[in-house]
Amino acid sequence: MKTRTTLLAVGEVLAWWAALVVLWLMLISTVYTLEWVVGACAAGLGALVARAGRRAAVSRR
Amino acid sequence: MNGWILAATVVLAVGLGTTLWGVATGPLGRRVVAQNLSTALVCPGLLLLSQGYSRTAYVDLALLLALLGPVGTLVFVRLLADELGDNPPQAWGPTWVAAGVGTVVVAVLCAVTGPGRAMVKLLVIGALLVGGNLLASRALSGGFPGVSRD
Repeated sequence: MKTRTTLLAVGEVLAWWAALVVLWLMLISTVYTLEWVVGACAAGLGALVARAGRRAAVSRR
Repeated sequence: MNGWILAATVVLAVGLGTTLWGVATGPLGRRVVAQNLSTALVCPGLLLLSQGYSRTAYVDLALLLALLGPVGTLVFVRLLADELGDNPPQAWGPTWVAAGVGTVVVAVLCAVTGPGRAMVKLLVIGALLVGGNLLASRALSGGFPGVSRD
């Protein structure tokens, strides 16, 4: 059960991360390596915050 | 002055002029509706200006406005929950007009831009603009009864 919870959490963060990286790539003007690195890091932070925010919103109901 | 700047001038003069007048005069309900619509009309104006002046930086301003405008309205809804609670302002006519202006501007700019990342960015802005506008109007008209300061 615990493994499944961990897998679900990792999957959710990865899904948020992928969506946010795609969004980042769509919003910037020129795509090059440094943009990839900065975008991936920012999307990582954003994914953690997004999951925390979703859980906070769900648990409040 | 080209056609884009002319269109932007018309949108800003008519839209922003009307909403500023609405914000500055009248009862509270009308003011808060007008400030909600002001960002929804300035955003298409900025998109037209970016095309008219060929400055893509204006698109980023429009993106910020499309994102933060409805958020600001939601803050007002929460802070004014007691004052607006008895008689929430219903303004679906102006809301749909603003949404229509945003949709038309984004569609025309997408057609001019052509497929690519810039078009996706425009579509993201359009979705945020129209969706945020409708969501904020629904919140203003009391569509989310659970919202209060408690």
